Amino acid sequence: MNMMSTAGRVLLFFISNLGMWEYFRRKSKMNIFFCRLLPLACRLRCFFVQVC
Amino acid sequence: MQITVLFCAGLLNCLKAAVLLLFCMGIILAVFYLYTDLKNVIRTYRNAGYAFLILAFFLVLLACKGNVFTGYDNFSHWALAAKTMIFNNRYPSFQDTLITFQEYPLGSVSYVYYFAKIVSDSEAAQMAAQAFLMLSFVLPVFKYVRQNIAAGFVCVLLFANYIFCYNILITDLLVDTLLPLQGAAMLLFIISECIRSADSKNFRGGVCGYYAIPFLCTAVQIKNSGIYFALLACILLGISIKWDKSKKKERILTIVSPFLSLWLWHAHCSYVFADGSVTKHAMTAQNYRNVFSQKEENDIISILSGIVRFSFTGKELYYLCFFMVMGGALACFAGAAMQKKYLKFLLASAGIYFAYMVGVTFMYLFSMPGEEALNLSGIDRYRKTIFILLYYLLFVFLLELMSAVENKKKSRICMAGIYLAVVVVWRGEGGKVFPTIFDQIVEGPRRLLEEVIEESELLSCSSPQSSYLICASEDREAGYMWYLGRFLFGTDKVSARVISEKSGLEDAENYEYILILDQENEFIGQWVRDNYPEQKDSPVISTVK
Repeated sequence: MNMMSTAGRVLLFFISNLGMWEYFRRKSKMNIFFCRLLPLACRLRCFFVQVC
Repeated sequence: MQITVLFCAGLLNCLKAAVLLLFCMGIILAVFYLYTDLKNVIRTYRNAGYAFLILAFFLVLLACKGNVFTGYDNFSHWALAAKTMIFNNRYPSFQDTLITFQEYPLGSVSYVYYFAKIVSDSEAAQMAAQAFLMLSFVLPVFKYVRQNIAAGFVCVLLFANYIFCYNILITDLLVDTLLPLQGAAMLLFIISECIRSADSKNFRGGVCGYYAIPFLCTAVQIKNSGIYFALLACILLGISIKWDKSKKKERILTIVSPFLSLWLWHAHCSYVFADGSVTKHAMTAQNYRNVFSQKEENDIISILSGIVRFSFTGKELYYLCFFMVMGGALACFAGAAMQKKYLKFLLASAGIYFAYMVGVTFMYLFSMPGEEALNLSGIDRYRKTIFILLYYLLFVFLLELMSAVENKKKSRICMAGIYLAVVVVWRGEGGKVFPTIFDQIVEGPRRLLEEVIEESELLSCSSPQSSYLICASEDREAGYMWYLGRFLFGTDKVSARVISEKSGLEDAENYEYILILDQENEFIGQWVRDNYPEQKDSPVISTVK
């Protein structure tokens, strides 16, 4: 990422957003965020706390 | 959605991981969809709305390029919080003594952090991040641009420019423009996806009601006063239960969500800050009790009468009324149905405005301390917040009107709509016409302090433990320099004052560096000649040399 120009990073940011928009456009249910992403974030946090 | 995820990650202290996760997930999903279904993706995003988003964001990037923060409130909280988060990769805590408004939620700052970590942590990039967020909340109006897309596109572009120049500049991280735009987008979403889908049997579409949760949570995560917009949305959702009882559970969960988010934030603040619940503007009963008990009867009467007078007067109110009347005149062309709709809209607007002013009165009585409350500090800015919401909703009404009229009248209405937009955009402050986002470079006293710092190469020789005394030329400048000094040096060991007598420099030697902005001051000149003659021509005096 550090090697890339700001314009390139803005483009990547847009592409990343596009992925999100498209996901939510196709899925009418958003339970994945509450049922999967947040517990995953919690587990990641525990992992970082243990490692660091 | 991203704000809510980042906000939760901030509370769990895993912000950096959340940024990485969100960004990588987005890239993976984008690659997957582009690879498997390219034609469908192109067809979906090849429309006026996304063209607007890309064009407007490009213009915003150009406008922000090379700019730095200059507004006072950036240094007192918003930009300072962003800088602290970008540096520490976590939400501020008791260790960050620079953060004084500890109860201010960090939703918008979390998004700025997200953008900064991916794109750039420069101040211009932070401005662009917030502007992108605002543009994304303007995007839903394109749902109402159904016919004559070119005219609608121009109108939205003009409207966005108008809103971005109306209250808070795009070169600031303050949320007074972002909040009503978010609130308006949320109301629009709830009206179109929850109310109309429940109201009409033949309505097609209407996404899952749970989608409203991030909207409602984001409102209170951007600013505590976002609860007003969240309450409006909750009332609408409550009404929709009546029409569609099958979605009762879904709606109740959605209504509860912003209060849960608010509770989590308060719990977080009381955990990480010793006095979080009693800091300025804290949304707690204890703070309200403290502030209100300091006010005397005369103060309360003075505040109430001031707000009542202000609610019915002012140039901005007259402009909005003019805009409303013009909208009503256009509605007359469009038949009885639109006229009825316009009347409903007018009543709702008046209700929203006066309910908001009641909320503002509560804030001045219970949350704003002392002199600030008596002077009604910032009331114009606060009122513009609700005006932005009303402009937004009226603009949507206008777009709907342009699509609803019969063919023979269409061109006339379209032209009237564009004319109305141009008239509003053409009004400018201080005789200046057609303000645009490119006019916003404000020469503030920041440059003055930075020149002194650069000239003396101060940042290369100072340490995080250094202390600074800034000698300003006037009181107003001293207050600004105090916040700016804390922001630039990243320490709370900063003092700023006007030296109007010799005793003002009595404790000067307790500071490592003395920055002299008032070069003509005789007392300072004499003091330097007496104590540090070898540095008499330097704008920065080092007391440790």
